Amino acid sequence: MNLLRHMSLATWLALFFAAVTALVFSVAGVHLYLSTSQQLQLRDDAQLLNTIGFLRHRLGMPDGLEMARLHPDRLLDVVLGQTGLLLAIKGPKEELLAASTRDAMQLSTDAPVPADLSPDAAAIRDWHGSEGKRGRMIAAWVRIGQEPDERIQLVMALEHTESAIVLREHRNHVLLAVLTGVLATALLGYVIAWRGLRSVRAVARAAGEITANQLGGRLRIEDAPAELEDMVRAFNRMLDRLEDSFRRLTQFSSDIAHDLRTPIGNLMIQTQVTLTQRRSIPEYEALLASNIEEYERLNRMIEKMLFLARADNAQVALNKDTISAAPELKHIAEYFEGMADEAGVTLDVGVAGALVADAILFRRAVSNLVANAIRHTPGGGHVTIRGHEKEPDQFVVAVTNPGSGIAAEHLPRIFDRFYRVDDSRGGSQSSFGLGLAIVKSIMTLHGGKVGVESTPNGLTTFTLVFPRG
Amino acid sequence: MRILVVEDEPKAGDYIKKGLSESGFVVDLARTGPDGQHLATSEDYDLVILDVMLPGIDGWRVMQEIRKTKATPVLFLTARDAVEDRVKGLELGADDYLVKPFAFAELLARVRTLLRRGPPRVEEFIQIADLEIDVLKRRVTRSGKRIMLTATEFTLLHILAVHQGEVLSRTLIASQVWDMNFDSDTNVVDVAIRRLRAKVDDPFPHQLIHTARGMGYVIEDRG
Repeated sequence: MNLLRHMSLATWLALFFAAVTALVFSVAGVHLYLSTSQQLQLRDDAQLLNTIGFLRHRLGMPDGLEMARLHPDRLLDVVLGQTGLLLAIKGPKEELLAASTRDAMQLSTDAPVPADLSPDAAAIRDWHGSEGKRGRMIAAWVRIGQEPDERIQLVMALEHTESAIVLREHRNHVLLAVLTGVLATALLGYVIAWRGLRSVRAVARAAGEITANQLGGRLRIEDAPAELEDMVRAFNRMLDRLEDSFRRLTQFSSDIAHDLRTPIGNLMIQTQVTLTQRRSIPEYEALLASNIEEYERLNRMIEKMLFLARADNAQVALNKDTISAAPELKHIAEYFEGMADEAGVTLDVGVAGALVADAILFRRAVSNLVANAIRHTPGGGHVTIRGHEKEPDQFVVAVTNPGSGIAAEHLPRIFDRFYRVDDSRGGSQSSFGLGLAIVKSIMTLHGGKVGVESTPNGLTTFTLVFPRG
Repeated sequence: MRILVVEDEPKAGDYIKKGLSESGFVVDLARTGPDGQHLATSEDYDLVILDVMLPGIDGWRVMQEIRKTKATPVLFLTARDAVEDRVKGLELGADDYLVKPFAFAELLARVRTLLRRGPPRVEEFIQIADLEIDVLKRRVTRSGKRIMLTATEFTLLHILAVHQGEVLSRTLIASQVWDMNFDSDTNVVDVAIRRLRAKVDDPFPHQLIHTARGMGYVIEDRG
């Protein structure tokens, strides 16, 4: 089984062709052999019938009686020129009158054709002579006078010698043809398959040349045969996705490095400057407190990256439960009340229904959206939080805020990690561009969706769609 | 109160010991699993703080050994915050856990809670300097003057007052007041404290709610 699976496609095809050819040739050969052998037997039978017909005719002539009585051996002359033809002539009591050869003396049959019937193919029997000789035979009574005992019996056999040789040669030809044909198709099949698979090897070679450093390479569709086009296209699409993931990963790593460098840079410079000379205790205290702020910033960032990494590997265990949306969203609004108040922003909650989600993660996702909305709402604006069941199997949470909006070019990438609409790196209060990535991760974990719509200098709405159950 | 700290990371061990000592506890420090197991089973401690990753014998084994003979409360520290880890620790008989890195204030708060033994006393009446809190009636007065607080502000003041003299981290406050058990990247706690101060502290000459920079907030009478 293993051997079959590892056999090369070309070898496999060659063997397959050979097997098919062997089968077809053999069937044809056997058929030819059988029909030839049947033809030969028909010919033999015809010869027997002809000869016996001739003899009956000869004996029916006026001197037939005399010839049968006095010169039965003359009748034997008829068969002398014919190879393999044996003739025995018997009297009325089946006593042997004459025989053409020693074998002919043994000829006998239990069912000679009666004198008043003319012999036909049905009367012909298989004949088995001495020393394995085989052939066909026929026996017939011939009336030579008026009296009941004025008759003689002719027993004739035709040995297969000649037809056997023809048949054997025919069989050998067929065998030779089968063997040659099988070998030829196996060889040709192998060559054709090998050439046909050249394009597969070319694809493999091209694929082999694509490395992490050269993910940009693609297989040329126009070089591929029609059958491989789909595969090449699928392969190229896979490369597209890989390249995109790879690019994001690289970008992610460099973003991480950049974002780590900022707090570490702060830590180094403030600590080194402080250490260059003796300071007062309050100055040291201020330094340490400032350091703690940077450490906490690092810690928060690491916590977020860990969360994302775990969510990617589906290592976050969901504790799904039915959540009554109204109290939950009001609770979140209450949490942000003070912050909104200070920013001169009002929160407006309108919710009905229930959903199934992990309570902590649901709170985290919505909180991230609300915190963002408050941050981007100008003073005097309203942030609205809406939740409702959409269709029987979905629950939608929408957080809307007025403001400058998000430009269309940013929308597709806004849920990417570390992606920021403005390039300035935020202070310690920002989410390092991970807040929305976390929202997306949470929605993915729930099998839900996250969406965003924004009009410049208008409303920006983030929607979370939770599937039911 | 005697506490055993089992921690192999030298700096962390030293500073946990120092911090707890300065908070009034008698602290022994073990740096390996076998040392920790020996001390925990042969001496009488009121609490064991146990790191999970230890050289020699790991924290789980140490905990099992302690539980064979003693009912000393155990607080375990883990760098891995995988859920299985926490469940495993609690199943082995630990009383609480903290995920590294943690704020020292957080550790101190957990230690005090564990040492309080039994259900926490709900005080009906708390007085800090001239601030008086009637917990049952939810009435707050300072220097005899009634202070009107929202429900959230009252909960915040109450939590600070119950832990008077202890620094409470922002994370702890967010978790206790709003049940927000994750970092929301906002200044919600600072805003809430600012608003509470505006009512409780600003109109009066003495400040009671103090900022412990880099740590959190504490309410205490500093005279």
